[in-house]
Amino acid sequence: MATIAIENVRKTYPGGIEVIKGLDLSIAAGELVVLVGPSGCGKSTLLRMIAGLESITAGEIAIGGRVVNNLEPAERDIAMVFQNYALYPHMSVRGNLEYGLKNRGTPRAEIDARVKEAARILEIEPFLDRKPRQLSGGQRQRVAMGRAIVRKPQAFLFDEPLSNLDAKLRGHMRVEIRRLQRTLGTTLVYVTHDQLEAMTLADKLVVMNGGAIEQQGSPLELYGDPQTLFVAGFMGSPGMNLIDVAQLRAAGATLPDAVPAGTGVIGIRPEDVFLEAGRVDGPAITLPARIEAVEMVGAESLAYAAVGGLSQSVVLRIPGAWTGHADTAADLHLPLTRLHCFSKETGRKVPLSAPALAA
Amino acid sequence: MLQTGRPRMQTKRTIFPNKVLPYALLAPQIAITVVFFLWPAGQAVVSSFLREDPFGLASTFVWFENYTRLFEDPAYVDSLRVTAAFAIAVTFCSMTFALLLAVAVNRLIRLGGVYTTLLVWPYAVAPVVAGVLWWFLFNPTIGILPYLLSFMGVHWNHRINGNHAMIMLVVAASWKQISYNFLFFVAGLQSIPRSLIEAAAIDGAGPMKRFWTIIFPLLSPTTFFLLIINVNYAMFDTFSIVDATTGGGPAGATNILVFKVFADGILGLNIGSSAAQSVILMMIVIALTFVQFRYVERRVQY
Ligand SMILES: Nc1ncnc2c1ncn2[C@@H]1O[C@H](COP(=O)(O)OP(=O)(O)OP(=O)(O)O)[C@@H](O)[C@H]1O
Ligand SMILES: [Mg+2]
Repeated sequence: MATIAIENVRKTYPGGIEVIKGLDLSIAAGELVVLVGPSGCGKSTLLRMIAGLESITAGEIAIGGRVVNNLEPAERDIAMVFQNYALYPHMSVRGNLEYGLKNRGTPRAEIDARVKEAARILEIEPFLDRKPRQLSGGQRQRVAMGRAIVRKPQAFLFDEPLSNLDAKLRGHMRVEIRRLQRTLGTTLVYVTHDQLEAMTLADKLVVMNGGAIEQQGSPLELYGDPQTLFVAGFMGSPGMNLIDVAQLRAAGATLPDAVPAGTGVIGIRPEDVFLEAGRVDGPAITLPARIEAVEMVGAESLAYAAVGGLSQSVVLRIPGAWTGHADTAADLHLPLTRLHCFSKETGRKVPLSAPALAA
Repeated sequence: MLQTGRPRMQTKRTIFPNKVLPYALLAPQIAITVVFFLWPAGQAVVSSFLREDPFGLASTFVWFENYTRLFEDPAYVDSLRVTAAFAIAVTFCSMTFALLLAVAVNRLIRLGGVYTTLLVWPYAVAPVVAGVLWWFLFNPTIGILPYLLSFMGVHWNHRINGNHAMIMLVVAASWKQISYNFLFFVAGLQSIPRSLIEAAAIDGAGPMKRFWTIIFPLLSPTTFFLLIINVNYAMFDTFSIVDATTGGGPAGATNILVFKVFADGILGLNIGSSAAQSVILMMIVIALTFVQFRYVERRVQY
């Protein structure tokens, strides 16, 4: 269990491309931090810099208060789980688990005890004497985690550990990782593409974009109060509806005074757009629209509504199966309290003023 | 759609009804194999049971006498010993150096391609030329190596010193084979996922430990394949190097089996004995090939 402090870290690959652009992040001891962001934004690079597999161009990384910039991966006391698991194919599962301990000169009895415990926790005892190729994907994944936990490191680094598993197993392992991390209390930095993993696992969620942090905070904070257009669109599936104010005005709609000056884009979550006026209390924007298509996703339905003058359709999340007909006219109600206003130039949030709302 | 009559077959296969065409197409290859391989091999087997009179006019059938004589002949037993030493030395030297070079090149990111190209060049040199090249380098009167060695107090003369002759031969033969081994080792190294090495680094293994516990075991299919190839090479493909440098001497110190077959048969005109020797060589090749095929069949060992 250790803190990880990342200060003004930069990474430039040979060829001059700056991949991480002066990034600051502090991770508390025992915290589970999830890094999300679009492909190529530098998540893996950052994780590999913490692990010591990639050199640090500028800045400082400290693990447990100790600056590790010039330490070898082995000396940083971290363990990593790779996306392809990177199990040693010529060693048995037991061999894989023991390897790191043997290299550190751990006494035999201690090695056996730790391997036994890890195997028990991860339920891989029956496979200890098999080779990795004789295991299923899910079992390999467990072995990869086992290899990380036997070492009892200061921190775990997981790079998309579940992305090679099917949806059901992924859900199961997600819960297990959370439980394991709570039990062990080890700091964990977790990279993922999966929204659900990000929302459910994280103590602290970090959204990265283009080598920098867009926003960090608790998952609900990021979901409920995105500070930038990027985060608003990135978090949630489907992401927030982002409506261009200029297009709206051109189509003849008038915006209430509550929308602050300088707002270029208004955002609203699909679940905050309503078809029935009765379900909205307080002031709302009403937009005439036409429902174009409906997707039933089981517990809920997603409706795509075209609003005159807007280039993108507005997505609504409706609980349960939707009974209406596609291709019908309907009014969309956008409650003002649920509106997020962004400046088009800076991409940042423009705060709604409370008095304006009341007026 | 083409109906092949075997519904479960995945690959599309065209069937030609002509029964003669396949044989006609194969004929040239079969002819070459028969004329240049099977027929001479059969001749060798037949000759190995015969003894010719001194004038080469008549021959008598002597059963296995040529073979029994061979193994009673100290010169032949010596040649077996020399061949074994030579094959082991060449295989070991060429594979070790090739692996060292491959590991070094594999660590490079940018100049790897350049080094690979340069290192492959010796393979293109004909064995005779390689032999002559090293013969010049080691030449006791004009060569540069004996000159340098003299500063270390070594009086190099492979014409009279059997060990010197053997060393020169091993160097020349290994040098040529390093390129070939190198290519295979580089390919083998590049097929090892980087993440495995990284995982081992995180697991606390230093560079040497990583090499011996991860890289070397994972290279074992390549290493085994090369082992067979190199023994084969050292035993059979080095004739012209011997011919161009030592001619089997001094005093039989470099008289490896392939060279002895030639020396006894062509120079010594002892056809019966020479034939028996080539039959033995043939059996060694067959054995080596057999081992190799058996291994290739179940090659994924880990
Ligand atoms: N060795 C390298 N040399 C040069 N550029 C690299 C190297 N490794 C990664 N990059 C670049 O750095 C950027 C970030 O890569 P990184 O692997 O960190 O992305 P990521 O966020 O993990 O993406 P993904 O979600 O697809 O895994 C990419 O644009 C990539 O092309
Ligand atoms: Mg990545």
